[in-house]
Amino acid sequence: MSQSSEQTPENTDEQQMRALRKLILGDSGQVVTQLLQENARQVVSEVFSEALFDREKQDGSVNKVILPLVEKSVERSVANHSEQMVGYLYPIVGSLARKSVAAFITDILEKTNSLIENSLSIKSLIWRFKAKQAGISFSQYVAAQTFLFRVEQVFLIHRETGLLLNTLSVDLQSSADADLISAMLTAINDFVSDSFNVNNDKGEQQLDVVKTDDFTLLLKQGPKAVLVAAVSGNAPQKVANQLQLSLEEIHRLYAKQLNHFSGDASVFSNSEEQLRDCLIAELKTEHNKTKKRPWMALIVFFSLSIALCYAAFLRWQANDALATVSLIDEQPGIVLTSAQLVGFSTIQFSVLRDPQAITITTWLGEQQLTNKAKINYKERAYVSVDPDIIKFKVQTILSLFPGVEVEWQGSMPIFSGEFSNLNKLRLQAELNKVTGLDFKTSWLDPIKIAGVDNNAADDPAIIRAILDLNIAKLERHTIKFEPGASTLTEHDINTLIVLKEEFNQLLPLAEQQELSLGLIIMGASDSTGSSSFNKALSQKRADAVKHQLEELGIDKNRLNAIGLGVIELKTSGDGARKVLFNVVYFDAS
Amino acid sequence: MIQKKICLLGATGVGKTSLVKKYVEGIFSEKYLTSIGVKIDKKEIELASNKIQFMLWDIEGIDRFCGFQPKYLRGASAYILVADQTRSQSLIEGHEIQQMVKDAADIPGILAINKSDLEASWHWSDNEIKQIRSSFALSFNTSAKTGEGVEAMFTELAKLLLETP
Repeated sequence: MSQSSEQTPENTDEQQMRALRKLILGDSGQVVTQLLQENARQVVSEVFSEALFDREKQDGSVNKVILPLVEKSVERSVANHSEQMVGYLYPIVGSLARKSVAAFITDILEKTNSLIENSLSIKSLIWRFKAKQAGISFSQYVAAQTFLFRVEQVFLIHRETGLLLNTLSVDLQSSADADLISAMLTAINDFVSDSFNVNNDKGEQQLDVVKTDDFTLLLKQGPKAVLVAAVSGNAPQKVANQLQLSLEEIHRLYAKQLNHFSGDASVFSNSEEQLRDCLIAELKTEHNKTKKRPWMALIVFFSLSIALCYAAFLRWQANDALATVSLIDEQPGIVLTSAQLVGFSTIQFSVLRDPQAITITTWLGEQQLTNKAKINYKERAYVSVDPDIIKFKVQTILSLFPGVEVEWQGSMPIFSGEFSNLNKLRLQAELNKVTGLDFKTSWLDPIKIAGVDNNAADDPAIIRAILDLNIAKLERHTIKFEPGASTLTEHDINTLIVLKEEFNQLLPLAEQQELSLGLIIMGASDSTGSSSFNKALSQKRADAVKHQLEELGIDKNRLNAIGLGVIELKTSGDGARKVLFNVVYFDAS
Repeated sequence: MIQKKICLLGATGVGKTSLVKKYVEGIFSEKYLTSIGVKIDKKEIELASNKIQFMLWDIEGIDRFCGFQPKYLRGASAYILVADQTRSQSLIEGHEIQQMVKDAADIPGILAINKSDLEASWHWSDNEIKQIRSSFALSFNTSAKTGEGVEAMFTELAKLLLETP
């Protein structure tokens, strides 16, 4: 009820309004409506934008209504006029893509650049080598390899017809065949796009780059025109970028002329400005590059120089050391037989050295050679008769006899001082051993005998002791024989010579003591064979020795040869085949 | 100077290449023709009023078995169809080519009936020939051997193209 009661007044209002309109306008109502209809376009157009704005603000319905319409028309437009759409979008999309690509390329270039500069790769080494061969610096060579290029000629070609619109060449006389070339390029492009059109949609394959060993054709395809650059050398990305820029500019400036091209290229003569922008050459960058110091080369050069200097220093030091080593020859008791440099800085030498002489290591240490060079040496012992080493040896012996001194007159020692009789004998013995010193007992006469004024020979106890000592020494000699043999070898004879010397030295001592000396020569044999044979063999051996000693000069009255036969000792073994000696003395009454 | 792209079409062996050889300026060897199917030459014609330069796209002989490369036609201002009056077949194929061109582009066609130095030995009646001629904008009897009709053909074509807007 309430609803109907509310509607009723509204309806009534409407009806009343209609009634009122009828009353006022009457039959002219038709005329007003007609008038309004006639001016509808004007009336609506006056408030159209405002009305749309108000309505959109009110409930947002305008957007909802228009959106599908716009979408549909755009879709249709793209489908039917794709070429045109591409034409519109081309400059915008081009510049956007260019910006991002440019940023990317710059980044890559910087990285590559630092890589080239910092790397010591095989490639860079090869480049270094080739640069050296060509007689230019490394950085110049790198520039030639990567950046040296020149855009020789630029062609602006009408895409549809393949006709040449304009061309610009570095050399003033532009190629007469440019028109033929551009037509042929178009044909090739058509050929390529047709031959390699993998997917049959609208995206055509386009030639981008035609490259030979040292020549590159860069093609930039626009919707209406194609810009081609003939580049000698290695075309960097920036040529392509510049082509793109110029092409976009040409499309912008000559949109109309391009659309209605009828074969008259003269209208494009002003495009020379854009083409000129593309004639880039990277000859100048060489100088920038060369200004950079070739650090790598410098470092390598300096390292090499330092290494060479160091090597030269080592060599010089080694030579110096070798000269010093030669001086070792001047050392008493040392003979340098050879000295040379082995390898780069190693010294090798050989010496003969008397055991009494200074040791090689000590000498090298004294000369401070061991830290200057590597030294190897070979040493062989020998007995030196160098006056200096003899003096040194005598000096060494004398150090054992305090109180005795020596002075040298040339090679002649003058002894002085005082010592005991025993020491005199000992010194005699020691000095006798010095090879090269022609020792005479009389040399020791100037030395006083300590303690007693009379001769040491007067002390019978001491002399007897010395005598016993020397006898014991003499008795240590033996002569050995081969089984069954009784002949003397050369070695045996040498032994007998020593024995004879020793025996003869005993004689004066014995005389002092008034003793008579005798030497008993005892032959023996092992147990092989019969005892009578062995007895005879042992006697034969003793006789052989006795005979030899007689020949050497021992009075035969002092000698007595006895054949002992077999020495029956379990431990004797081979040792039983020998001749033994025994010195006997008696009062020479 | 006005430049125009002209396509030279015709069945295999009708003498397209020979026809223009003496009259054109080219830098590309004929082997391009077999490599990519097109060879390009240029021909300059001087008229009283203007100078015109034809870029002649000599397109490899077409027969019924191998397709037509419509892309080469793109942007052409006219085409010259060459037929050999000693071979009836060449005109039949020429007619097919004419149809194909019509499908691809709306450009005037010129008929060159070649080998006019030889006796016509095809069995087309004069009427038939006349009818065929009428379907072309211009038609000429030409001889690659004597050079008959070639210059005239290019000059007339130049006039035709400069007159049409």
